[in-house]
Amino acid sequence: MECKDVRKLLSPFIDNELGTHDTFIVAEHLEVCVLCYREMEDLRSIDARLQEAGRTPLVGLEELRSDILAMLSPWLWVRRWRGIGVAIAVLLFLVVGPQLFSAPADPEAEAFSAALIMEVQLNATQPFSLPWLDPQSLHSVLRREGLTELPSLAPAGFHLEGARICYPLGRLFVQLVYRNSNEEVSLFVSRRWTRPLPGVYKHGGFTIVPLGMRAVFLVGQDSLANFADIRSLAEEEIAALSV
Amino acid sequence: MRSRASFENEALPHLESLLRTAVRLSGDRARAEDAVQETYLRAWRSFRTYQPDTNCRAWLFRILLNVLKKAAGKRRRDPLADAEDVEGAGKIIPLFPTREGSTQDILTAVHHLAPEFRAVLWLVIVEGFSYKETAHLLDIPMGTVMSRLYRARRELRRYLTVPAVTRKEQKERTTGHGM
Repeated sequence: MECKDVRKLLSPFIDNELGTHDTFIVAEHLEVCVLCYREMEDLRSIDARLQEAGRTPLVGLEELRSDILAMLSPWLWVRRWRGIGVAIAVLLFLVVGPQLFSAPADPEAEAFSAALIMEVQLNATQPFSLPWLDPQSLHSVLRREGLTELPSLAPAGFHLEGARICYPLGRLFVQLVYRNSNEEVSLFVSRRWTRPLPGVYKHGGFTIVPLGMRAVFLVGQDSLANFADIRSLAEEEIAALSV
Repeated sequence: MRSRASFENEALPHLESLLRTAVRLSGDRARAEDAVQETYLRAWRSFRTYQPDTNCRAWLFRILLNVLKKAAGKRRRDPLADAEDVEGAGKIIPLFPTREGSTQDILTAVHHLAPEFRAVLWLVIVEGFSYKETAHLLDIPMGTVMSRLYRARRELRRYLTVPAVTRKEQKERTTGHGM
């Protein structure tokens, strides 16, 4: 075997990766060839230096170990996936939420909701045909009904535009109409209605949000952006009233 | 499911060699630490599928090399890319003369090897993996391991046996200075 062939085998030779036959041939050649032997010695020397360099202790290993151990903590997983969890929950809410809040399978609630919507539509189509209450009469009616605090229920950004008496399903209700620059929200309240609706109800472009036993908000579908604010504020106010 | 204690016992003892390898292959301590952390995270996630009494070290190294490769891909500079066909790949470019025989000298030489040669050289010579294990770790044929190792050693030898002065001259010729 010639020197150039042997030199190609020197690398696996010093790594003990050659088969028996080739190992024997290379070893035999090295016994008689000074140049190849010197090259093998050079390679071994380089290996030794490289191994020595590789054994140089690394600084900061303990800190890294601590970081890794902390990373394996279950709480870190909770923190790591919390954001994704919230995102999934929001997505699920957006996808499934409308179905969860779909029409209640309750004939009485449906009939009541339809009656409320009719009152709102009537107000929209015939705004001057309904007997609006003047402030003094409104106060008097509300006092009689035990609802004197309700006119302060205006949702954020809305003002009380008017109030009237109506009779959805034959029960007396006070309808308070709130308005901002482009939306109208009605609050129906009555001491005589003691049965809460089972959930948010949507029908014909309206969303009905039950607020306890005596109050119901009606908002248009386009008002859903304000939905949380309105509902939250109204619920707070009603909770305060019950105290 | 296997416990965290057994993970610590089996996997953490290899932290130093993983970090050492990551530093050498990525050429950057911060990137290396990130890669090692990611390696342990991935290993921990799939530890329930790990078979006891198998080669935990090789398993961790394989994860590490994948992490490094992915990270390098993101930087559009793959330290483990197959670049044997690229002209000039594997050539040492001596950037500056180093003190003969020093640890830094040989590490500098290793650093200037083409990434795929550096990986084979480091895994076999420093980390002591067999050719077969290295081939498995890098997902390359054993013959490729042999040829890369042969060329890496030849280049290292050439670099380390050329006097620093000559290398400085080579550098000046390369960069156009001193002419």
